[in-house]
Amino acid sequence: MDTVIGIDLGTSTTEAAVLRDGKPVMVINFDGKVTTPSVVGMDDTGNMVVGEKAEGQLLLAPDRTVKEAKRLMGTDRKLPMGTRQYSPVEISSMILTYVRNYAGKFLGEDVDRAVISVPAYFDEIQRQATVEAGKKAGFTVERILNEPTAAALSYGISHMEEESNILVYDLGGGTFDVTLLEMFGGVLEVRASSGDNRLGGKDFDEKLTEYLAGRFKEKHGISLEGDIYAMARLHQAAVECKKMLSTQEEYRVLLPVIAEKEGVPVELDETVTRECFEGLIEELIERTHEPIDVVLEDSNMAAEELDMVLLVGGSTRIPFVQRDIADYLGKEPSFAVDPDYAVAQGAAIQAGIINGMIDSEEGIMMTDVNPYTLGIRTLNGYTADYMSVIIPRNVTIPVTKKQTYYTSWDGQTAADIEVYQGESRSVENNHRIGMFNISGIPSGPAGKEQLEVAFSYNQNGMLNVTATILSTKEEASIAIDMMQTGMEERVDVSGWKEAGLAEDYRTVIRRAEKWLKKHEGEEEAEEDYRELEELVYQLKRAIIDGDDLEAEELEEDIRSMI
Amino acid sequence: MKNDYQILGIEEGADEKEIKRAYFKLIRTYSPEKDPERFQEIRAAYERLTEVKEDDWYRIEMETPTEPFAQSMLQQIAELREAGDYRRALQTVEEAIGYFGEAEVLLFEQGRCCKLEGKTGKAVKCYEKLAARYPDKLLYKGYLAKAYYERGYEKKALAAFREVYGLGWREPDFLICYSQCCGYRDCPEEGLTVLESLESSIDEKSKKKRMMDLLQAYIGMATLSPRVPGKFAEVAGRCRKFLEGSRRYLKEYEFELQSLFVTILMSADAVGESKNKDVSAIKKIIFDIYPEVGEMLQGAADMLRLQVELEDLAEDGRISDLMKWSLEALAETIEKDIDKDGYEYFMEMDALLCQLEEWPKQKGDVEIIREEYGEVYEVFRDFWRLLQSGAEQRRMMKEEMRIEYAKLSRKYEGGHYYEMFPDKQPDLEAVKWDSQENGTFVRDGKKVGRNDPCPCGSGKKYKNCCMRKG
Ligand SMILES: Nc1ncnc2c1ncn2[C@@H]1O[C@H](COP(=O)(O)OP(=O)(O)OP(=O)(O)O)[C@@H](O)[C@H]1O
Ligand SMILES: [Mg+2]
Repeated sequence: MDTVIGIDLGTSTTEAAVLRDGKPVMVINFDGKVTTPSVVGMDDTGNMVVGEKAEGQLLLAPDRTVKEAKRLMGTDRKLPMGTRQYSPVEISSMILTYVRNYAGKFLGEDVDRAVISVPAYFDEIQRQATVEAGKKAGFTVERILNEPTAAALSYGISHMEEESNILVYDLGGGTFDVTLLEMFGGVLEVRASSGDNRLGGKDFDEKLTEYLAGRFKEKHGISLEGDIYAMARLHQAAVECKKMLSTQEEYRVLLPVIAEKEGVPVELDETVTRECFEGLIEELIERTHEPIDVVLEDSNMAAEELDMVLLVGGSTRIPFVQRDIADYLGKEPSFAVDPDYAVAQGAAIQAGIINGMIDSEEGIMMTDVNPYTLGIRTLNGYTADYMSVIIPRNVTIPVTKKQTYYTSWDGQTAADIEVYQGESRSVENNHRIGMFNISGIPSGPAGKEQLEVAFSYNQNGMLNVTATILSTKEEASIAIDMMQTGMEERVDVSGWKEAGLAEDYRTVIRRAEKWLKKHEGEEEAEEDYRELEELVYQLKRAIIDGDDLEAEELEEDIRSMI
Repeated sequence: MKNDYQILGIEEGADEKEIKRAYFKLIRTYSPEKDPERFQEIRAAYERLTEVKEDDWYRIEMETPTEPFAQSMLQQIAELREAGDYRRALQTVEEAIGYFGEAEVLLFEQGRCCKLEGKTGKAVKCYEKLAARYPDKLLYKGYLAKAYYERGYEKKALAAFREVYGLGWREPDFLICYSQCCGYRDCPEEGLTVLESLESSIDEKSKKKRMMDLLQAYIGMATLSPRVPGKFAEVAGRCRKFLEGSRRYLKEYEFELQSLFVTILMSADAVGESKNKDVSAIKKIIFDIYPEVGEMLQGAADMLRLQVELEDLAEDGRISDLMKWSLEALAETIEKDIDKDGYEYFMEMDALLCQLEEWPKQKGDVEIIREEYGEVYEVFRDFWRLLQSGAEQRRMMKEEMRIEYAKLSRKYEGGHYYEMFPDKQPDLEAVKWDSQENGTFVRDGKKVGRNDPCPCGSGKKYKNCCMRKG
């Protein structure tokens, strides 16, 4: 049977597991460990290193090392490493390649199929980016699984007989997820998911680092902000301090030579109490309450009806976090699963369900929900950007829903169906995931013709949208495959000057870049700015590819703009 | 076609546990992976059977024409109604009645659509027919009572409400309308009893799903309570307890909370219980839930309180007319950024000038206001202070204001000052404007008076339209 590996690609750490004899087994990496730091670096000989080695050079070479790339997944932010810029997808794919390699060694066979977990609250773009990273690492990504669901699976597999309502509270390095599940007859049914994909241990680290830097400045009048080496050390000390405060009441941060004043070394010596730390993160912890309310509300459940609150993620080790949950829900949380391994184990279980290792009649199974609302843009009488909901969030998938619409003005013969994802009542604040046009509507007075729009969304992330003109039965449709990445990967073009064609285009690029510099940040020029920036990128790319024809055309376009 | 129970392979009327067991068993065989079509069918049946039926009250058996065409028309009616197109829904119902006669379900739809379209008289007719034809079905009697009430037949409505209530009908919307009707017919005590029966019919478990009904009930109680001696404190206490216990679910009911809050504050004032500790606790809860809105609500409540006092004051024979309209003009300027060139400013000047000229004749007014109209006195503090300043200061103020006033009076009408004190009106030609300022006073077209139709074409009076926005 083909092995499918389950991978928890975390913000700070990555773990992998496979199913053996119906049980998840953690995969050991080259360092003999289960946990691999999600860090990538370039060593001084120009080789890529991943995991512990990369983490080890964070202090010495922060400019050649990248961490926490997951937080940027789905954005077009670039991460500098050495001489080049990398996309978050590229960094993630290096981590996944590393996993693939060590798993191959550990298992004695090449693994090329994977289930990768993501925060439940990742949106489609972030999921697509994750699939892309998996593909780049040579995996066939069989499924993107929500992390809290994975954690619940790892609990469920050894509690098949239970009938319970479980709330999974996952506070990791970069994201917060909360999911409510019902376990019944060996089936795990996700009732609702919510979260905040910009909240986690990383934010606590930053708060504490800021605090320490602030105290240092107060005492010595020296700002550490600009010094990336000092900041890297301070950051590391803050992480250490945070972790220690989970088990002890206070911790002394001591960094002997963090800066210099008139040639004399200055040390940072600061004792942080648990209370002080709690004060720093209080506001952040408060942000977990709203998502909890949302899942309770969406699953029509009161806090008293919960049978268990499962804690997952490294940050749930913080006593304050545990206390806050207990207070807020009126229920003591449970530590029934391993907070570090549960997600990877659950991913492996899902992998086993997919490749048939887990019997579908006897073994555990699950159903999931869609975490975001799906709908289309409509005119509602007041605005033209009203989000008309077709599939509400947190309904069990697969699901098909329809809605009937009317023509909005006399003689309307065509309609744009714009598909959006998001929670706002105005589509402007939501995310457009696709669009198509249906024409051939018989001309008539407004409101006469009806258009039926059907959405069908399945667990593989496929959304089919069909619009039908009811009077003629004419149809138009679009398939939005959330697993099919449409994103074009940006390549690094910084080396264009070395390419053969460079000489011919040097002047135009210089002029264009001058223009960009001059108009940077100007509001009126924003659109032109973006367009020109893109053109310059395309031109450099054409130069590198040696595509003279394309380059010539681009040059013309650029000249017309500056 | 199979019904939901058949889809799940269980007997009609099976209980929740059986439904659940059947569902979880079936989806093992027809899992999302193996048979997504079948899975969805099972899932939909399961959801329908377990969903909390908020509109349970309407689910009664009705005679329905069996023709397939009638079925499809009914479907269409429901769709139109849900899409908010009541007009066409009603047309379709009437068309259907033309084909199939006044079948029960069609009459019921007709009543519903009439009500939604605002045709209350016709709605009464529909429900009268239904109530007469099906005397056992309380639903229709209840609807009829509500239809009377909405039509404005309050006396008839009250009798109908009492009868149906006596027969045991407890639909939430019915109870709320009943209690409102009690308010109009001057039997607040009865209204309170009705709302209490609504409150107590909602247990802890269904609380969350019935939040809207509960909030409506408390708003109703808060409205009626000042009219029953000794009742307000009790209602405030209950309301507080309710809000405390439902904090977590309240966020989505911003609008209802607002009106509850304002009602409570107004009622507290009416019975002189503004310092009641439950009222303060309620205030705190609402401020906690909406930190931003809290202040706004407080402001809105203060404004309302002021409005009420001003209305009472306008009826008060002891107060001079001058004071009445002055305060009205000043009230327009509260908490607004007043444009030094605008109409409100002009009217404010107008009032101040008249007051300053007449002082101290109004001393008696101020005394009464201080004693009896606390909120008004609070809000216009600066005004009283201004009046009571020294004679010399008053004279200087008058001088200054007169210049401003003269300028503005070229632009606006409706001031009292020159009417009351004709000798104060300057010879306009003689006033020397400085050239720069002069430019801003070009009058285009007719002056707009306070009570003229607004030039923006809204059809409202100027004072109620752009003058406010301006
Ligand atoms: N003892 C501890 N006390 C406090 N925080 C801790 C402790 N141990 C680990 N952490 C924090 O937990 C976080 C890592 O948790 P985890 O490995 O679950 O996250 P992740 O899976 O990498 O991230 P995510 O799930 O958000 O993508 C880090 O921020 C780390 O500093
Ligand atoms: Mg994690």
